[in-house]
Amino acid sequence: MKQKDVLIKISDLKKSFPGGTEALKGVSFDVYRGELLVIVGASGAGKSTLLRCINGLSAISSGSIVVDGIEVNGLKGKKLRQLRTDVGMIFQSFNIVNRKRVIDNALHGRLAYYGLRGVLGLYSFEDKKKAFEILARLDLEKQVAKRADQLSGGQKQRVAIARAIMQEPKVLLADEPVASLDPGASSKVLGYLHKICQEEDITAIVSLHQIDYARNYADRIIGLTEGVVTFEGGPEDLDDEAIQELYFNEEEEE
Amino acid sequence: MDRNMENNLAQLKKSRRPGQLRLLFAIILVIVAVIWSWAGTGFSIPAIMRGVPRIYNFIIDDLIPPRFDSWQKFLNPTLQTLYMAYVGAIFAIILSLGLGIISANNLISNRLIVYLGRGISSFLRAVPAVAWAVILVAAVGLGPFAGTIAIALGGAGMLGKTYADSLEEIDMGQVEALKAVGASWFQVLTQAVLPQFLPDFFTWSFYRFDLNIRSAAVVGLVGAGGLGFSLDTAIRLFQFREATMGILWIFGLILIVEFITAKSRDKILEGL
Ligand SMILES: Nc1ncnc2c1ncn2[C@@H]1O[C@H](COP(=O)(O)OP(=O)(O)OP(=O)(O)O)[C@@H](O)[C@H]1O
Ligand SMILES: [Mg+2]
Repeated sequence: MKQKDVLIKISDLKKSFPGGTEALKGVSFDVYRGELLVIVGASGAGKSTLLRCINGLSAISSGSIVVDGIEVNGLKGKKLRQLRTDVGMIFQSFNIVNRKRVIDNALHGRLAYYGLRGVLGLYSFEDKKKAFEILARLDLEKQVAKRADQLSGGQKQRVAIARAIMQEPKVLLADEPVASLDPGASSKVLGYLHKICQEEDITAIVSLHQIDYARNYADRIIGLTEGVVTFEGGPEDLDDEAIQELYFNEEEEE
Repeated sequence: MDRNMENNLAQLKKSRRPGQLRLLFAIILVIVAVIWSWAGTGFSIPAIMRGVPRIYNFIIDDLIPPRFDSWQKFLNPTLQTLYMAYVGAIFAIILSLGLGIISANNLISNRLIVYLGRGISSFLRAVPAVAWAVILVAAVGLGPFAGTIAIALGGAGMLGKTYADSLEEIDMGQVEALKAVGASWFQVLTQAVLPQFLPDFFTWSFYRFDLNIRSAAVVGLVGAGGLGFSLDTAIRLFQFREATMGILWIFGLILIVEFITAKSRDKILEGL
């Protein structure tokens, strides 16, 4: 990190679900341009909810999220779609279109730049070239013409990364990107993710369950406990005591 | 701890009782319904016993053997029936695609539109193709045009519902991912929804075409063209053996069409 340039500013973010669950209870933090921020926290702490609020997949209840100068709260229609072109997202369950080829899935990342041609799946030569290039960088050049459902989990997640990178996003949100993968595939996928974000100068927010991965890849770490930020620091600050606080706090309360 | 468990058991018992009551109620309802309809239809075993010989005599004396030399008379009506079923299916599919999409609550966020779509499908489903045929023959006259529209409307209700149900079953993760990319509603529809929906779409559409062949033969009986119309004419003229020939045509047509649709459906599903 060169200078501390704030790309995302989250202030007093609250999110309640219709059932009455308060998933986020006033979360505030900044994300700096170019960093890889890891979010850790026990199951149900609100990691997914937080990430989904940043690109407007979930509407927030109150507070504010500003992404590169644009307030996400209240964005609708075209403006919301515009914001989303700047924010890539990677999911735990990959969520690539299984019945389409790998190349088509990568090209999906460009959809927002097309109108009717996108509806018909007609992409420019430049975009196809770019898709090939990015897939090759993720070591998927042999899989390009395969249908996505023929791939392994690790390969699928790399296709999802390719789709997100095709967007040329400023930010990449990854919600437990390796939780469905075995350890080998997990470190491979995280390695690719880390590398490509650095090369493309993309800011990344990654939620992770595995503490050792968090320590390995994070520039900074934020810990959530039941919808509240309870840890903020560098990887070296996430010591055993902090982990104890984050993951095993509930028993003390009872 | 034991007290707790006793409480739990009591609660379990309580929670089961409504289920058992409901089952008992359902059984009683079924029994009442059977008795009621038995009485209502004047169903009587002696009447059946008396009827059997009469039916037997009618078949032997009047229907058999078919007048094979009249086969040519049914050639054009057969083709007409086929066209009616085919064009009717195309119209039904186009109409139902729209209906199915607006009736799928995972694709349309406006509840009102979903209810409207489901409502139209239910209404169309409630009216059988023959009923549409009666109305349309009165409105646009005898012939295959009325029959085709009747088949389309009769089929659209079923397809609208099955399409909607299939669409609601798709994996929304893939849909959400494309929304997150910034894709528009129509882009999400063709790029994430359609690929998942296509196998069901073809299965149901081909099934509808099979059913349409039957419908197309039946709507003819009320004057809406095709084999049914020729059959009706033959019966009115007491040409029963000719009618038997017509029935053979219908039979053959259904078998052949079902064979061909099954084959082409398998081919298409393989290629998807
Ligand atoms: N759609 C929803 N409707 C109602 N409650 C929800 C919904 N999504 C999440 N929640 C609740 O919000 C809280 C936070 O959930 P969230 O999925 O954000 O946690 P998480 O940290 O991602 O957990 P995990 O590690 O298991 O993925 C939980 O209590 C959860 O039950
Ligand atoms: Mg989660």
